[in-house]
Formats: sequence, structure tokens, C-alpha cells
Amino acid sequence: MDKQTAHCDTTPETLAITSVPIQKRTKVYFPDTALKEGTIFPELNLPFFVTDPLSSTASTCNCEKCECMDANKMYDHLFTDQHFEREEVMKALYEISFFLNDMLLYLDTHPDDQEAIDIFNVYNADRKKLLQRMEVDFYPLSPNCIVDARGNEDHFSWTDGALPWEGACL
Amino acid sequence: MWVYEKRLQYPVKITKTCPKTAQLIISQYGGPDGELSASMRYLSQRFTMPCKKVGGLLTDIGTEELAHLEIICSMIYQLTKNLTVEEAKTAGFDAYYIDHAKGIWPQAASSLPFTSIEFQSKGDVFADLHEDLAAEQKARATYDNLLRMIKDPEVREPLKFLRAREIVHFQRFGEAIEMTKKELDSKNFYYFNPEFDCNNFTEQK
Repeated sequence: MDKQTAHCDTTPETLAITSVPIQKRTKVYFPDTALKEGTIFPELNLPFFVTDPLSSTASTCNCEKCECMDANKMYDHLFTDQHFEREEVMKALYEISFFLNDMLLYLDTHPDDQEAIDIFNVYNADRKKLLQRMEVDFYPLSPNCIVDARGNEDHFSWTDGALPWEGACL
Repeated sequence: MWVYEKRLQYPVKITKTCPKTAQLIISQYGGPDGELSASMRYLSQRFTMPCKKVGGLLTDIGTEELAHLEIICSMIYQLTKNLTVEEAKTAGFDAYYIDHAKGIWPQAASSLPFTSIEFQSKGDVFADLHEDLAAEQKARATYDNLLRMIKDPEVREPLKFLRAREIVHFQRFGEAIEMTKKELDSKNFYYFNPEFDCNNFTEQK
């Protein structure tokens, strides 16, 4: 890309073809902010001017919202033996799962970004634990989770729980 | 192969019935630049992509678009689940009601039915990826139009989320073009079609 920018305009490498710069990752949002904004990347958060004044105002990175490898610590309390409401577990699952969705697409085009891979692995491990928590305490979210489900003794647990479109998931 | 997960990608909880809003956002389900078109476009194009990583990216984005049409359908469902026939009449939802009652069916806001004519699978990597860039921009513009018109925050939040995804996907498709260019001779990217003239094309690792 740098070479192309330097030559500019007149070479066959740059004429009659689209060039989009490859994203250089800086920091990423915490998962709760990311879900609200629709991306984990501050540099790709480009809101429309007709948005609510209370959210999505910044297109630049606010460092307090940025994450380091430790950001997943905010979910640590969910991995204890304590009991939690379904809504709380689901909220964490929504946030972490979306974080992974966005990181996955990034890694599709940046498969050599080792730090991003490390972050992905940390959150992926958390997601697995949360899926298991949902299954043990409430109901399985996916057929893959049925294996260990507590409900299978008296009935088939896959039919438990609300359907996602009923608005009861969070 | 796909495995269902019993949740939406972004939560939808709409408490106010509004058939008019449902009739507008249905375009992002079955309309020309809607999520169904997007998903089918990427999931169709991916098979013949010359670069393996680009085929993988199309699979992942096409899969996310399935989650997006589920979000839109959930919104339409919640906006109309308590609909009375009187409300359907006053909000201009009456024509849809006659054909579908409260059923969810893919059509544009203009009531044109969903059609695969809205997207292309050209069998040519640059033609396809440029179409994908344009598709993300058209979807983004549709969300902008919706956000100008719709006031209910319970509807706006998921729309804003979906709009943000279009911008991220645009960036990824741009990177997919760069990845493909790297595999070709930069003196003439159009010398052959790597999806058809396979003998001329060998992907480096």
C-alpha cells in the first residue's frame, strides 16, 4: 500500500482498480461498548449524524473505553459458583460473542496478528464457559450444548427457553 | 453446515406496536439492499473465489448477514404482534395484512417481493468483490434513510448497530480485494479471470 501511495495515480498497479488501505489495529473497545457501537474498532466507528445524542457520538478513540488484554476481567465474577439471573449471563454472552464476531472478520484478513489472536483466544474461552453456564443453570443455547444439559433426564432440554424473537433474551 | 444459537446477535425488545415502521424496515429483510440479499450474495459468490481466505471471509460475513435478517424479522414481528385490523388500516399496512396477516415475508418497502435479481454472482473475483463493496454502501445508505425517519429508540438502537456493521464489512471486502491483487500480476489485474482460467492461477500459501 505504501508503495502504491508513493507512486500515486499513474501506474497500472493503481489505475482502474480499487484500493482500500489495510486496517492497522490500534486498540479495541471493551465488549459492552463494542456491542453498543456495532464494532470493536474505534477507527471503524463512523456514526451517522442523525443519531441519538446520548450514544455513538465519538468517532475517535476514547482511551478509557479501550481495552487491554485484561478487559475480560469484568466478567470474572460470572465464573464463580454464585447464582446469577439468566439476563446477566445472557448480557455477558451477547457482549463477548459480538466481540468475537468482529475479531473473527478482522483475523480473516489479518491472520498473522498474534496479539489479536491472543485476545480472540481469551474471549473465546470465556464464551465457552458462559455457554456452559447457560446450559447448566438455564437451558442450552445450541444443539452442541445439549450433551451435558441437566434437563435431559426427564425431557429434551433443547425445547426449553424463550425463542429469540420474543424479546425475552435480555 | 450451520449450527443455530438460540439468541439474536443484537438484542431486540420493542414494546410499541407500529405497523408503519414495520412496513419501512421490512426493506432490510427482503428489499434490494436488504440482509437476505446480502447473505445470499456472499454465500453464493464464495464457492469460486480464487483466494481461499477470501472464500472464508465471504462465508463468515454471509453467516453474520443471516443473523442480521433474523434481527430485522424479530423487529417486524415485535412491531406487529399485537396489531389490530384498525391499526393496519390507518398505518398503511393494510395491503400487506391482506396477503400475510402478521406473517413475516421478504419484500421491499415498496412491496416488491424478494428476488435474486437484486444481487449477482458473476464468477469473476473483481466484479463480485466490487459488487460487495457497493452492496455494503447501499445497505448503509438505507439504514441512514431509516434513521432519519424513525424516532422510537427501541427501533433505532438495533438499526444503528446494523448500520455500523455495514461499514466494518466494507473495510473487510476492501481488504479482500487487496489480498486478491497480491496474488495477481500488478501490471494487469485483468489479464485473465482467476475463477475461470484456473490454469493460469496458483495461489501462494
